[in-house]
Amino acid sequence: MELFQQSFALVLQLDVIIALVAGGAFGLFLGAMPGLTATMALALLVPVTFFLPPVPALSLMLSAGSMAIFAGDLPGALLRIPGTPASAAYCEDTFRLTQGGCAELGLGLGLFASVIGGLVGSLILTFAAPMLARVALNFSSYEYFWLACLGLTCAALVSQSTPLKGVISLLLGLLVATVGLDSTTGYPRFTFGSVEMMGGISFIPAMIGMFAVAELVNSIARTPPVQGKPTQRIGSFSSNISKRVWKYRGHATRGSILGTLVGALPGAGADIAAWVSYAISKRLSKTPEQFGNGSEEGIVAASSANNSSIAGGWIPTLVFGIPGDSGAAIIIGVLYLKDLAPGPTLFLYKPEVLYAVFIAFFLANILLLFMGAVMIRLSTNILRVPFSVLAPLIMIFCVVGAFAMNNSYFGVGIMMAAGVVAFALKANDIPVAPAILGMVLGGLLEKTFLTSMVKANGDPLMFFSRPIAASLGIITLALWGLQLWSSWKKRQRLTQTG
Amino acid sequence: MLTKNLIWSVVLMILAGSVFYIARGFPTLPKQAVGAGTFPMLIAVLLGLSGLLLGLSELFSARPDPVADAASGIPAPPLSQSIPALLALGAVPLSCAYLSGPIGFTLAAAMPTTAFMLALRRSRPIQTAILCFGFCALIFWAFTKGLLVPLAPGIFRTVIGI
Repeated sequence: MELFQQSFALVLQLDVIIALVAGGAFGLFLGAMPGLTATMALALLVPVTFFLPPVPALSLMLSAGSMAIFAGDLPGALLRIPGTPASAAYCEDTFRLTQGGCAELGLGLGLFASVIGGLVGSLILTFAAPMLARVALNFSSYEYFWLACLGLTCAALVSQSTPLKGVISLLLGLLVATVGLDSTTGYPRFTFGSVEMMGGISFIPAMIGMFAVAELVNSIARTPPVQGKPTQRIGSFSSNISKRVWKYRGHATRGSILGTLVGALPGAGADIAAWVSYAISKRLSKTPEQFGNGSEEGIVAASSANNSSIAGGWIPTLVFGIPGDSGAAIIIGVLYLKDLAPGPTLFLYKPEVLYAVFIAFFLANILLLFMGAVMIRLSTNILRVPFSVLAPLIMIFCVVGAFAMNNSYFGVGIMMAAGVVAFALKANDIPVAPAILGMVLGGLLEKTFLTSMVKANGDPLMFFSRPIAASLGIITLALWGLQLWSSWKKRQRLTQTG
Repeated sequence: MLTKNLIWSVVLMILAGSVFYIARGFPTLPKQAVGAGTFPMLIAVLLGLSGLLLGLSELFSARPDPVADAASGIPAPPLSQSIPALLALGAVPLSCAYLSGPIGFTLAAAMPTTAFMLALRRSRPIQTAILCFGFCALIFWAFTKGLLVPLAPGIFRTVIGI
């Protein structure tokens, strides 16, 4: 009880409330812009967190992330262009409702479902994370090694490209993580005599480059964001929205739980959560033909799933230091900046900060209800801001953000290099998310691998000597086995069909 | 004709070979077989194998290149528009890095940003320059005064009293 009082005291501060509102407004704006993603919003906010205490800094990030995902619905409903990939699953449905003169209904349902999803996700996070942390306290290097392997496996195999390209991206990320002083021998690796490289490739500038600069380059050189001028007038919500949400309460609950679980899976973010929930809802629906033609069920199920996945992604992030998605990978960077190394011990030494973050999650989702409603009313005006004005301003923000990391232009160089590499990867259909997870988890994977090898005297069977480690190891190997088997079967089918 | 996948395959194998070669010289832990080079060498082997697989699957696959397919459906902007914009984008960090000292962050950032905006959209240059200058000044003020990031004031040193 005392812990909760301490946490409430940390949250009910003016700077936290300002952070929640400001982060939310920033997230709503960037999420609503076609071509700009929720992850980009988080990457751009990182420099601001350098100068904030831990709770306001994390509140800023979680508020921006939650609200950006909802805001992606706005251009989907008004222009048929999903603002973020997470809104793509039900974009057609919201647009059809808008065409039928019911834009308020589609967006209102999405907003209420997002809030429900966010609240359910926060609830699961609040209860599941401390329980998992208690279990994780008994983990040794073997368990952590297999957890990191499992996380990376999911990231590589779940990616939307071919698994081989997911693996390549992952290995490139792991390779980048080896740059700098080796933690076991203190030997400088791949630094080429540069003192600035001794500390390794700075993660935050690299993330800004991979998510913001690469997106800008991609928009300019390959796929310019489709922009349009919405002409629809959006009225106020009618009172029957709450009745409709109540009617679909089962879809909202199922979508929220499913979204949290998918979000907790490394590599699977809000977009996959929305697609899975939408597909399941369609399969179980009595009116599946409505899906894609303005299905209210589909909107509620997918909207609740994509927002709940944000909280779900924080579970492995906080408990194991393994990010659920790219956004959570940025959060790991912020946690380290704030001297809050993620892991089960965080729940022992800084529980008041963690519970304050959980409370902030609830507050951000309640705020979403009000700020989202205002955003819906303003959306027709906001969507008129052209990309040509936004892109240069984002670029300046990126440069200052990368510079602020160490007050050095070396970070800006890293940002630009990472941006170019990420663009090259994307241009060849190689996903970027596994590389990010590789960069984040590379250190943990190598450290636990070497520690385990030394403990085991080089005997690989010792990696399976403890029950949880053995289970995690078998699951990881089984996933790879299944992937290889399905690839082999696919190839055989292709050969047979000629 | 070389496809993108084949080029990537070769690049990955060269990268893997180089990493393996360099990592061979890293020291091991005392009385242990593992050390600073173990993990990079392991990654290099896997990367090399992945690159080889990518190349082989490209060579022996009858399927059309999915990237080329995907790209063919997306209308890329004309080079006459994208190259100046990309050059202007690249000029933003360069200008900030090399010109911030002598002329200050605000001007060093505003000039390429204006060029970037004009390259993306034919708009009125004076208005665009004013918008960019205003935004860069706002960023400068917010980061130096609010967040204590030491961006160079340059020629505005006396004006703003930093």
